[in-house]
This record gives sequence, structure tokens and C-alpha cells, in this order.
Amino acid sequence: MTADAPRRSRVPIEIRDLWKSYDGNPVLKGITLDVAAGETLVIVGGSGEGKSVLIRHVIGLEHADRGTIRLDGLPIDEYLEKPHREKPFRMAMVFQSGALLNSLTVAENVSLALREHREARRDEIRRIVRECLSEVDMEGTEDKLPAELSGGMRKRVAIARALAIDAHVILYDEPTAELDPLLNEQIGELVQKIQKQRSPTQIVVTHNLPLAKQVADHVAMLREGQIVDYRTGEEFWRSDHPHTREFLRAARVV
Amino acid sequence: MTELSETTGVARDAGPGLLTRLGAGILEILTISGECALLFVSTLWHCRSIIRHREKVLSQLVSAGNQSLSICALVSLFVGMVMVVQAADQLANYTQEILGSLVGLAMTKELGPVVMGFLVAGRAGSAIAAEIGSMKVNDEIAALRTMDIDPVPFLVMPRFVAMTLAIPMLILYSDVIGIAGGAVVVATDPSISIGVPQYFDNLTQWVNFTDIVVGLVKGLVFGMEVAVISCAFGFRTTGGSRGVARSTTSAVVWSFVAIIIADFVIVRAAFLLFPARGGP
Repeated sequence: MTADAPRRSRVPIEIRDLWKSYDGNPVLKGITLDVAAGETLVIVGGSGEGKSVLIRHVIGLEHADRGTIRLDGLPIDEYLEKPHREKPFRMAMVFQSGALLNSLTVAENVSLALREHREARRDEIRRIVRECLSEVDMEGTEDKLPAELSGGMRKRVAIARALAIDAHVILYDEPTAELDPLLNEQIGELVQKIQKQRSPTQIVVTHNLPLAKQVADHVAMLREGQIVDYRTGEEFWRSDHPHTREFLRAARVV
Repeated sequence: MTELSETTGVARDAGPGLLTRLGAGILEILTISGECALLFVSTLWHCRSIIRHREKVLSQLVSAGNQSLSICALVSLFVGMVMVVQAADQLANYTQEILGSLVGLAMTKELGPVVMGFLVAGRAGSAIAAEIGSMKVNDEIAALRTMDIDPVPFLVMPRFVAMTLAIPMLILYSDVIGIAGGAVVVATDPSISIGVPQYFDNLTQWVNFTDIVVGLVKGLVFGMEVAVISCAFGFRTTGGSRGVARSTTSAVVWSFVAIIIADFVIVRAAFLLFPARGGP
């Protein structure tokens, strides 16, 4: 984190009556959800239920047809309109594919936002990159290109990119997709470690239930564009909601 | 929608009507043109940060310009050579003394700019559309936005500046090689009655600075068109690798059409500004 960066704030997320349709097909149907500052909310649900669409709204990549999203009380549109340096907090998203820029090295990817916004001097950027890569166990990969990395490594670099800007809100879109069970666990440990050490507000979208179990403070079940069940990380697995039971049974968690 | 034909009684797929398809096609063309116009204005605005992004501009200049040098040389050489062979045959019964001016004017004013425009659109323009298209489908553009990095100054502006500078430079290069190609044929083809000095004398009498400038202006405009169209189609990409392929093809086709239209407009404007001369 740069010396003159804004003081860390804890950022709660408030989603109210969020609706979104594509070509007349409703994907989100009145989502209302709260994520407390510093907690990790896991959104589970089947493929095509609108999980990724929901978090793309939270970070401002999509615009809702109706409804509001507030981050620390600030509507997302107002947050997006603010110049970078005036933003009161930082947000980052870890995409399903990692979404690293293929033409840049690992170090350049991790430091991209810092360099483009001139948030630190060169030597300081080098230090931040080293620290963030070390935090995700990717030391020594600074000069590698994304094409030279495995899927799990790419995701860890994407997480390091979020850490480099000291994001107060981190959104993970299927962070364990296409990874083997061992790597799933490592990513889960990383998400837990980040929450413990940096306490950002985190939303993890996944249909990987072991990961959800590992990291969740709260779990929300999304089905057909609606939150049908919402419980604490411990209660969710004992939920008597029929859709949750069906989902857990299908995943052989119960 | 399936309906029964009144005359044959056979079920036929009505689909959208001709007018609907025509309307949709026109709407699509207007949408793409509008997107390109907006991207052009936004890119021009962001050209103020050119110094900051100079390394990216330079790297794009190498990619669009340097890496096209060999293919441009080969094509220009043969364009110049074939022009002399064709023209010499047609002029055999009249006078071959005008071969120099014919090749010189054609290369500097028309063939050099258009052929270079097409080559760069096909080579660098398609690469730009494919690169940005892949970035779009792989969420790299979305990742940039989440980092508050505007893709226009970061991705489009360096390519726009590089392409706008590269095509005029390639045109000059092409002019020289095309004219040299013509000279090679003049020197070696026994059916041509003039010598190389005569070829160059005639060329320098007729080709003047304005002709070269008109060719370079075409290059500037073609460069802007190819860059903006290629980037716009990259940003429009959806649907994985098939979408990337579709965008790349569309970017090249649109670039070709835009080059030809701009060529006509510039030629008309040039004739208004610099009326045709009666002689050297």
C-alpha cells in the first residue's frame, strides 16, 4: 500500500431490489442482500442462475434495470463517476479466467493499476509486487508471462493484483473453476488468509461447496435470479430450505 | 415462424421479411458507424496523453510498420513491375516515353496509398481486432475497467497513433520500391524502347510534391480508419473464439470499404484544391 493512500475503511455492501434482464429474459429478479464490512459472503447456485451477473453489478461492470447497490453508503454509480484518486476505497475482482493481460509479465500485471495511476514510485512498486506475490506464494515469477503459468497460478496472480491496490472489496468469480481439489483448497486458504490479515469485504461466487464451507461467514443461495436462502456459514449446511437441500444433495455434501 | 403457403399448401418458414432484414442491416451499419465515430472522438481526446504512453506507441509502430516492411516491399515491387509491363504493351504503338510519369503518378497518388492501406488493414488491423477481441472475451477489458483504467488511452490511442504514422511512412517506402520495380522492367524488358534515364526524366517532370502529399494525406486518413474500425470491432466481440474470428473478418472488410470511400472523397477534394494540370 502506498504511503499517501486513503486510510483503510471497512466497506459494507447493500444491494436492494436489483433487477436485470437481457433481451427480455430476466436474470436477476429483485435481489436484496447485505454484506457486512469485513465479512466473506459466498453466493452459491447452479450454472446460469445469475451469480456472476450479480457481482459484475456490484463492481459496476453491468448496470441494473432497477434497484440500488451501495458501498459504504455510496451508490455504485457515484463511486464509478469519481476520479480514481478521489475514490474513498478500492475494489477488485478476481475473474474466473484470471483475466491477466497476456502481453504483460506477472510483475507488470500485478503493478498495472499502480503504474497507470502513478500511485507509487518505481522502487516502491517493485516492493509491493514482491510482497503481494509472496503473499500468494508466487515469488520468483515476476518475469513470467501469463501463458507460462498454470490455471491455479494465474488465479493467484490475479489475487495478488487485487492485493497490490489494497482493495477494500474483493469479488471472486468462480475462483476454483477448472482447478483440481488440492488447488481448490489452496485458493480457499488464500481467501481465508486475506480476510484474516487485511479484512476486506469479500464476495465469492461459486458452486464449489467445499470452498464455500471453508471461507464463508454467510452463504446466500441464488436460484432463478432470486436469493432463496441466506444463512450463516455454519447454519447453511443444516438448512431445511428445499432448494438448498436439493443443491446440497446434488453436490453430495449431505 | 412456420406458415402454410396459400398457393402450394406447403408449409414454409416465413422468417423475417425482406424489409425487416434490410432495416436491421441498415440499423447495424448505423450503430457500427456511430460506435466508430464515438471511439474516434474519444481517441483524439486521449491523444493528449501520447507522451505518457510513448512506449506503447513505439511498440505498436514497430508492430504495424516495421513488421510489414518485407511484405510491403514485395507487393510494391511487383505492382510497379506489372504496371510497366501492362502499360508498355498498350503503348507499344504510341509512345512508351510516358511510362515514368504513369508509374510515378499511379504509385504516389493511388496505388501506393490504397495497396498499403489494404495490406496494413489485412495484417495489422486484423491483428488489432483479434487481440482486443480476445481481451474482451477473456474479461481482460473488464479487468482494466475494474482497475479504473480506461481502455481507450491504454489500448486504442497507441494503436491509433502508430497506425496513423505507419501507413504514410509505408506509402513513401512503397512509392520508392514501386517506381524502382518499374525501372527494373524498363531496364530488362527488350520490348520497351525507352531507357532508365528517360523513365526517370519523364517521372520527375510529371510527379510533383503535391502528388506525394495527397498520397500521404490518404495514408493518414486510412491509418485512422483502420485503427478505429479494428479497435471498435474488437470491443464489439462476444461469443468466444468464433466471435473473435467474426470480429476480425468484419474489421478487415469494413476497413477495406472505408479505405475505398475515403479514397474517393480525398481524390475529389484534391481535384478541387489542386486542379488537374495540362502538362509538366
